[in-house]
Amino acid sequence: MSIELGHFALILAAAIAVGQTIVGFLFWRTGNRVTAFVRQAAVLQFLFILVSFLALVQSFVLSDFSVALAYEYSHTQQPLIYKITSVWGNHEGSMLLWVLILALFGAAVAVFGRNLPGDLLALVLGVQGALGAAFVFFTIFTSNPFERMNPVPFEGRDLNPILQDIGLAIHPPLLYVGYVGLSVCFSFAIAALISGRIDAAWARWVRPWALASWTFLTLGIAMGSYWAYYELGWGGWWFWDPVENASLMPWLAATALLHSALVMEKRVALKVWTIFLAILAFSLSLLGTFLVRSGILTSVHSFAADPTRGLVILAMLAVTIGGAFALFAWRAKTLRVGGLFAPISREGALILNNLFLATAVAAVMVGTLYPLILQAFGGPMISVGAPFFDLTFGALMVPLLILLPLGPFLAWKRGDFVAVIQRLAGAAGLTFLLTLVTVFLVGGQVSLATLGLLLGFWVAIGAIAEIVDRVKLGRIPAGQSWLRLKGLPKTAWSTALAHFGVGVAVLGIVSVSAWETEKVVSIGVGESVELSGYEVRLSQVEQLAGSNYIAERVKFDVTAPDQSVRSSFSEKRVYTASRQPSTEAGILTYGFSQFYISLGDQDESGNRVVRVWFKPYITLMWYGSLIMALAGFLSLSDRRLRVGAPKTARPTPQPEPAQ
Amino acid sequence: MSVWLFVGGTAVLVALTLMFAGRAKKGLEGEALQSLSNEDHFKVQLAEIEADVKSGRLATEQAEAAKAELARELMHHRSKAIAPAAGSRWVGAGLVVASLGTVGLAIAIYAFLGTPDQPAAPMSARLAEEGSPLNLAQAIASVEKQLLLTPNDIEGWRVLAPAYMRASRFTDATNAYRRILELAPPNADALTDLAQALLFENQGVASPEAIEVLERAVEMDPTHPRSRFFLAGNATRQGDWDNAISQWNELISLANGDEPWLDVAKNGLSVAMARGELTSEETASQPSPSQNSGQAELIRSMVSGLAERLEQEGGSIAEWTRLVRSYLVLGENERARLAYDKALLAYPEPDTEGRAELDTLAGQAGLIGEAE
Repeated sequence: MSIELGHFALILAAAIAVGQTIVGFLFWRTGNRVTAFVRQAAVLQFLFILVSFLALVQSFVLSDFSVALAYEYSHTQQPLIYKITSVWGNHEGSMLLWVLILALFGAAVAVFGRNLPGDLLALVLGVQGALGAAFVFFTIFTSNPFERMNPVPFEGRDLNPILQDIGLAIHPPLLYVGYVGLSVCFSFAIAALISGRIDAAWARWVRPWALASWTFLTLGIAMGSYWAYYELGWGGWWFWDPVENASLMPWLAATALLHSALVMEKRVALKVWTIFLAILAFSLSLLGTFLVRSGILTSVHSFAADPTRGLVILAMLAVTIGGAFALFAWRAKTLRVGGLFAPISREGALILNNLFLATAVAAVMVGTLYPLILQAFGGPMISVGAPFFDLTFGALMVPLLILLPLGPFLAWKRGDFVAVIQRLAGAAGLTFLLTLVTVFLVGGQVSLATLGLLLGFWVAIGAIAEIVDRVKLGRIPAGQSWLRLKGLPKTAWSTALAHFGVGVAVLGIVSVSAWETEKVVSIGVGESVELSGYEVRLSQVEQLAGSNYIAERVKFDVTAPDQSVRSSFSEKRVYTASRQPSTEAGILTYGFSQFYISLGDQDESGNRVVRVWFKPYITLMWYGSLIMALAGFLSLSDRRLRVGAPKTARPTPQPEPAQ
Repeated sequence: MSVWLFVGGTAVLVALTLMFAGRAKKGLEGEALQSLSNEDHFKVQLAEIEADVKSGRLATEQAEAAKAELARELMHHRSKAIAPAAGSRWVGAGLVVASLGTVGLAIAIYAFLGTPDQPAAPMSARLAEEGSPLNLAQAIASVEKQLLLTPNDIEGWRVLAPAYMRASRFTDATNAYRRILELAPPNADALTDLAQALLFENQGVASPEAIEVLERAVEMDPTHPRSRFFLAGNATRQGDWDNAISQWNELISLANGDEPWLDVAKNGLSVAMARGELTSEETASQPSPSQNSGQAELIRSMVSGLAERLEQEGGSIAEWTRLVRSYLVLGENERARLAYDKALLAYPEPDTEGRAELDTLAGQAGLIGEAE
């Protein structure tokens, strides 16, 4: 019975969302009763979607194949964790997860939004309800996860082996939280446009949502990248695949939004631009959802292509994005522009940041959509690959990264560029020194890699320099510096930490791109191959049986340059139900570097084709992403409202009094 | 029924909750709260500035400038008074309509899309169901897994090999039977099993290896009917009439009279004899390279005579079984499957006498597994 209850709960949630939308839009100005209604509706909507999600999870866990979805994508012999993750390892289930998170955010706004103006809250929840209704109805009518089977098959068809991995438990939920969290910013933007005013509370409200979404997007993308890296066995970590770009674009937009919302919260400036970015960021999330879910792209993410679904999503996309931007064009001029500032100021630096990021979004979008549009109009099939993106995206990131450390040093309202340069001179010197030492140690010559290293060190050291400068290390007694360090607000730490993370990630990307080594050999048991000072010996081949697969496991003994020996295991699996093969790469981590062993087929002589890579400092790029996300959480935990005090025209006459 | 009870109950509860939420804070005026919460924001900002000054993070002059900005913002905010809303008379009615409409919509859609009568069927229930067949693929998978770890366990292979045959995985079956022959001294049965698997793997056509294996089986046990049956069938198929006649005769001489294969053997013998005479005449007059196909056609015409009669007039289950077997011997698996399906139509009850033999035959030939 629980399946049918889940089905009804989902339909009821959709109906509640409709009621929430209609009441929210019709009566938003009529006071607290309406606000109470939409808040209640938002919470109920979440509860019922949760019930339906749990019902679906239960049918997967109990292998109830009277649910068609459970039959198609799970198997009785899967381990419990994969039975659960199989729920969203398919189109229908992942749509349900998507709307669950959407409803969760709606409910969160309803619960935590008590101190928001009632009319604003009613409108925000009205927009949230409209999004919920559209996506839940899309799920129910084109991709119903509760479709039944009769007669009931005895055994399920099992999930795609590539997806039977812990990555499926982590990557999609994180990414969805990021995507869908942007819907809150979107709803706030629409509410502001309809009501024709942006309250001071507006900015204070949007920034945490943008920050939370950005943080989860960062984690989701980093996790997706690492998953593709270790599971697909190609040894790559980013392919400029349209699906990846679909998540990168909202991330870039969210990064821009985060920075402009900062200006708005602290300085009540950039209002219109922030609203534009909020709409843009969520529109890009929807675009990503469309690209992945419509089936116009073939990848592990698209599961099954169904033209109806694609058309419906496209229509929803057109209405939402088109409507939002039309509303923006019509109403934006009624909003009052905020505080003034000089071009050289913190605000100015953040605008520059926004310009570069927005242009980067455009570049990625052109590269992603151009081939699709060309094909849609009967043109030839082309693919836009890494060279295009490396050139355009790279060219935009270089100036952004050069300017990045300068921003936090500039004062609000009006800044002193020369003074900032002087204060960063030490960091610049250290950057050059570290780069020279590194290049000298690697034995390379001046190349693009050197430029990349310079950028990475510059951003990372610049971030540290900001903290050093704030505590006036060396300029005042150490004890006082220590007190200042303790007194630094969390937001200051999080800014520095996030920028440091960017620097670390750049260093990882640059070193692995420049100094990665690779070898393909065919070796038998007992033979070995040497790469970058590491010796890999194929020591043993064994057959083993997993829960729902059988595997050939090959053991490699890797001798590092320091003569330490470690074992790595690579597998070729065949999943018994689907008879689909899958490979598991063997990865050994040495410090920040990794040794990657991928197993190919057996050749005629019985030898195995083995691909080995040495990837110097590759983990830095994921550690960098983790540091960025950590900074996001740190900033979120700072509940205090920070005011960006303007710098007065006169220079401050004396040092600020110590505590 | 209980599903509808739940649906109705939930609907009433939701409608009430929504209506109640709308009425809960009737006494408070929304507008007052709004401006309050906005001015609160300015107060919090002011307090933050004071706190920053106190902790030394902000110079007094900067703080003054920030406060001045804040005051300007507050004044602007106050100047933009919000017009009180109109039409609140309709709100109460609107909320009631919205609450009822919401649950009404949900029930209507569910009535259209739902399957309230279908019970759940979790794995535990399906396993407990009486007479539930142990799933073949699952059984194979578990034996396979065990054999990976104990590859020399001949009993395991003896279980696995026929299971592969039933699942129509003939290549796997061939390998499994080879493995059995490696693990124990060969006997006629084991050899014939391998030959049968080879035959099925090759769509009923005997490869030289299959013949050789069968001949080894006959050599080991000259009274082994199954190996002789396949050899005779192959000889008939090949149009090697003399050989076929002697093979069929030898086979029939081994019979007690109640063997299931006896009918086919007699049938094969008569075909071989009839064709043998024909061919010797033909050979005398005009040797033709297309002999084989001509002979096969004749056999087919005989079989199709039987098929036609059975389809038009019906027949006993034994006759249907013979038809299926004949098609299988001819290597026409598709027709065999059709014939089997028609036989099932004629005799739908699984308990009918003779069905067991028919089903076994069809199952071994993989007609059941693929038809599903």
